[in-house]
Amino acid sequence: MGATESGPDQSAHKSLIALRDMLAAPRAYASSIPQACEALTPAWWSMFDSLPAAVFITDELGSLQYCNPSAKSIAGGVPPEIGTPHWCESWKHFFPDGRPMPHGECPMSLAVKQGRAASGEEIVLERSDGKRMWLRVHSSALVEESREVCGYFNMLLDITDKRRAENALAEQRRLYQLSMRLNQTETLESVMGEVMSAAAELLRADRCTAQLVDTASDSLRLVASNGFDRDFQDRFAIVTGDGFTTCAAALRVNGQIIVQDVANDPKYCELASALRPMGILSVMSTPVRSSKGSLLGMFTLYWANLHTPTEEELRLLDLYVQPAARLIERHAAENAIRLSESRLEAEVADLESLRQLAIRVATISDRTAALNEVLDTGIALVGAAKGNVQMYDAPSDTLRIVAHRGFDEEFLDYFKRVPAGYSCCGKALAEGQRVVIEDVVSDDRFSDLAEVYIKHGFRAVQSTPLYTTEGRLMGMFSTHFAEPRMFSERELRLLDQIAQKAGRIIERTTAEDALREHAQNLETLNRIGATLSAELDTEKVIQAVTDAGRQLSGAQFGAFFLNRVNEQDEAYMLYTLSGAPCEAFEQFGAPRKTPLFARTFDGEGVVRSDDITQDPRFGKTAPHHGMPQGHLPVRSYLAVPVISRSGEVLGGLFFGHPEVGVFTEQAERLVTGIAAQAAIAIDNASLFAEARESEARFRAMAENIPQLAWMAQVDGSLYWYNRRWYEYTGTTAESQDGWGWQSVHHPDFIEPVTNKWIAALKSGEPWEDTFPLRGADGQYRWFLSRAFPIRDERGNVVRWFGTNTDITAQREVEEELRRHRDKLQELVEERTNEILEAQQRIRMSERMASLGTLSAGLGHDMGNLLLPVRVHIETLESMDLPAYAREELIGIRSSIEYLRKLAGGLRQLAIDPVRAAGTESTEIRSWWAEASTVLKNALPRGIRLEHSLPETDRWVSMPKAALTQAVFNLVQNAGDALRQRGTGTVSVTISVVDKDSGVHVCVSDDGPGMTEEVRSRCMEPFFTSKTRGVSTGLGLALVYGLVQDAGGTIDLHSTPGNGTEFTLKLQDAQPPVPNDTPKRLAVLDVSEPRLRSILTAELRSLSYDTAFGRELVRSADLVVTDRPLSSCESSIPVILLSEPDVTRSSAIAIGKKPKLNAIREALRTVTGDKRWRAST
Amino acid sequence: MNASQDTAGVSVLCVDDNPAVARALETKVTRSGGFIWAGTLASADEVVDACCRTCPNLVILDVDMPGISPFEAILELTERCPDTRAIMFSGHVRRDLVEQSIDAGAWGYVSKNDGEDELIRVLRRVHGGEIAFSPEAEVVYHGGL
Repeated sequence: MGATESGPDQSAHKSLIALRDMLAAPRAYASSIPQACEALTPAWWSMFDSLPAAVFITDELGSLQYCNPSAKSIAGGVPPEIGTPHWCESWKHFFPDGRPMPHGECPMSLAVKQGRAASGEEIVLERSDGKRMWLRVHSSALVEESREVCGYFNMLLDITDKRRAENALAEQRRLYQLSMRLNQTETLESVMGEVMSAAAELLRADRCTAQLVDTASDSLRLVASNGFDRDFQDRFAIVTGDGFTTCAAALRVNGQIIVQDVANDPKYCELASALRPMGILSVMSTPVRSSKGSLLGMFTLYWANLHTPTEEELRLLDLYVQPAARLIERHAAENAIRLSESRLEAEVADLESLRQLAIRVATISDRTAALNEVLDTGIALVGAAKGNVQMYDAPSDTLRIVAHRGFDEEFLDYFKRVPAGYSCCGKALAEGQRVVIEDVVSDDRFSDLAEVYIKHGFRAVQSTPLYTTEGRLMGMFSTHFAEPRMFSERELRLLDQIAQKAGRIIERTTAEDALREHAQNLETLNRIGATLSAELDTEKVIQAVTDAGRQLSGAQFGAFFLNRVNEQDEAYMLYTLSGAPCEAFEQFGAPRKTPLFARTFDGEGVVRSDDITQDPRFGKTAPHHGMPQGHLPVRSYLAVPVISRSGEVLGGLFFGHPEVGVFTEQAERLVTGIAAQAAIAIDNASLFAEARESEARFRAMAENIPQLAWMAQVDGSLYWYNRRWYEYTGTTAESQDGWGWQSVHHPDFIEPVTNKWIAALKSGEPWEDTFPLRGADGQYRWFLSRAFPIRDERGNVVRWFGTNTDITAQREVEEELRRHRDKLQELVEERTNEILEAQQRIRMSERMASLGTLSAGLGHDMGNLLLPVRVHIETLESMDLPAYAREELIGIRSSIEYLRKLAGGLRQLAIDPVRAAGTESTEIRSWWAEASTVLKNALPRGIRLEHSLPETDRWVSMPKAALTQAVFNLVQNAGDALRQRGTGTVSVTISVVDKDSGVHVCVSDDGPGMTEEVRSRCMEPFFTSKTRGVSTGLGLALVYGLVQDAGGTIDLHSTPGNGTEFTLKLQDAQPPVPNDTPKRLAVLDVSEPRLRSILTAELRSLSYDTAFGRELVRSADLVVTDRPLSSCESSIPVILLSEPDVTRSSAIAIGKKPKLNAIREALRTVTGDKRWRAST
Repeated sequence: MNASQDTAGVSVLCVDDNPAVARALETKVTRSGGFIWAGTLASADEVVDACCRTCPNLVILDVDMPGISPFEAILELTERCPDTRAIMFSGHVRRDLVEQSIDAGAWGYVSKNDGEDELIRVLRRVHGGEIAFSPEAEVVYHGGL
């Protein structure tokens, strides 16, 4: 190794020492540097000129006297002129950390000004072309014999490349550390805080803030800050696009805003006044954007000095901001999934509640109970405090509460009857559509009601009208809420569904109630008829009539007066009295023929009055002009003449009540009926006629109800159907009489329906059933059918009255609901399974990765341990040892060899199979020699590993590590299968079937084998037949993947009891053949030996012969040189080891110290270029 | 080739944080004809200063050690002690590591799994002026994993 090979730095150093020694020698120089320089021989100057370090020599005042060529190159080709005073001050200087260095404080200036020597101090210099250089400065005074300073010697070493590499490394490290910290943060606020701190540190900002975008209000919310007090944080907690700050401006333009001097920027006057007290001069706001470009957040940095970020800083800042953007986006995606899941769950729950409600109310016949169910469900679904259902009374145009939940007596009394237009429900009635009061306090429409509402404990109300199927408003469904609230679309939809449900219930029960009431009234009339027909005592008859009339009409008292006038005072005779003692009338005497009474006794008709005192005929007659004082108080009045069949008025039935409006039209009809019954006593023949007439009226009414209706005899045979029955079934009375109804039943239902009907007939209990009935169009529809027994006064059933209500639509809705619910459940389960599987996969792959790390570490440590052991054994072997000791050593040697292979195998298992996959091929016999050790170790104690190999070398197309991992997993599985038994054999048979079908690697065991299910699923990821924890469930899936990647296939034969056999069918590969392409010649003309050696190795791998020396260039196919060639040698490709600006255009220049990648790239270009190939 | 003559007086410095490995290497190297053991360091922190002081011909460096990165150490070493040649000796053999070593200025890379005899072979070749690799490292360097 000669001196010529020593590095430039060291030779410079030696030259410098020589120079200093010489200058220090007393006789070698005169009084000044120029003279000293004159003393130097030309050899010294040429040495300076050849120094790679920059040399500047000045006189004692710092005026430049000399600089060498390297100095020129540092100065970017334009060195300071000789004679320049303060030569170094034409450049900007910086400290290594980037801070600007004040003028005149660089080590070279300090050496002159303060006589302070510099030895290796580092500075950054910015040349006039803007390029920054890192320099190590050696600066020292040159001292005369008289100890006076005669000049300064400055040497500047360029270490820019090294510092750049270090900075790049540090930058990567900081980014890595930031990403590690971000991985540990949980909230977006802490993510923003971490990134903000890192960015501030990077750009050396004095203060900083971080904000997140609130998309709803399109504003920025402060989430982290550093260096600002509470006042500032409060003032700028929310920033919108019309603000005066830089972040507001950045929000407006969705881009970066840099204000270098905020105090002197007319656009930011207001901001400047806010920042001035804090001494901030420069501000920069950088947006965080999503991958689609939308704004997610903002980082703002503040400097106390005038700061302009460099392009490099902005580039790095961008790298910092990106992870924050990714994390915010991920967060948003996770939130969206959570939200949609909870919505889905809420919808399922709502539908389930509605379905349950439909099931419950279908079986409840009592209206209040059914409506209470509806109310409970409605209140629970929308989270109300209370609720009620009202029915509409058309004559009075009011709403009346029929069901309620959660109200006190006072409320119920106050809102007993609500007129149209009053309160929430009244307004909904008036408008015919839902009315919502979100907060009564702030709702101008209801300001007069606020006090009442709040007193009863609610602030918000909604009222939804109930409509009949024909579209007539029949009631109102209202819910009341303790707190002000708004209603979501989902809630309004639910309220509609509930209101619809309530409407159907009212419709159904109203029809049923009306029918039942009429049936019962008919029965009462019939009972009275039966009583009367059996009773011969007239007075008893009339008493019974009076009592029954009073009961049925709801009167407080009633009386029967005979149409016989007392001769003395022309008064009518009181015959019977009900509800009051006789004395109550006796003292006033009987009524006379006043205009009011005359109407009755003249048989002109019924007199019914809600308030008789308001009747124009009332109070017209002396002496009382109305009721005598002390008379029973009468406001509601009902008087019915009793007329014989012959038309004679027999008397009158009079009923009264102290309250107004008691007697209804129905009461009037009933009493009229009773009056007719009363006539029986006098005219027995008319009794039955009247009774029949009454039944006919009932039938007429039953004809007009929307349901199908019928009546049956006690034996169950039907004798009457309503019009709707015939319309629906398209049948005639003849065909339906008796048991003819069976003809419209579905054949599958006739038997069960008939059995249930007969059972009801026997027990006398009400009958109910649900079944399809065939319509006139041949289609079946579903009906809910009910029948009530009608009994005589002895309680015997005399007939049955039944209805059929069409519930097909209801059933369809229920079916639809059920389908939706099932579908939603299915979706939720599917999604849940996906999430679970993904979590499982993450856990498993983490575990696989940690196993890989473990086995790599283990292999590495074993290798480290074995090395000293081998060396020590070698030492022992070299000694003169007795024979037995040598044998021991041989034993140890073989154990070490075994462990070495095991370590190698472990390392192969640790190689990432994804990276290992490729076209690399493996020789099977040498592979086995390496891998068998680790395979043996995969088996439990007592299980043998057998093998058989092909007789000659054989190559397969599969990377070595992948083959090891595949076979290892199969052997391990086979071992696990045999583990419980404790004995057995695992065989690895590698065979060549024939030339074309490649190599078969067969791993078999004599274990228990697999069931059909296990066999068909064992290659799926995460499928395992072993206990979780013992198995990752990834083994066979991994094998499958590895073999597939290598272009091979897997066969599996296994039956319970007969062991398992996996065969990997791998493709043949060609053994690597020595490259027999004709050798080409590359001539290397490179002086640096290491570079020459690297090039030689690279060229040989590309099948080049190499030769050295410039004289061989003419016979070369390729030339690599560190000196430019003359143009006559230009017909061959040239790689030039120097800077591009001094090369010929056709040569590839890769610099003096190229990196490996640059060398390889250049060689690829040259050898792959057809132009060059043609010439070889 | 007479190895002991070629390597007579060639000094070798070893940097390995595992004292057992370092001792074994000392034994192996000094026994292998003419090499002189220049000493052992436990980290790459002082290797440059040590080389400037003692100017060894060859330095064996482990890759995975506490302290400064061996690649940084080699970069500085080639700058300050250009006569000293560095050879990496490691259990980790990956393409990126081998290429990084060569770019930093190393002359060779030896896999610990290839054994100490390979190390001696590589030391000789590097001293002879060639860059050199043990078989496992060679495969990786020329296009393996």
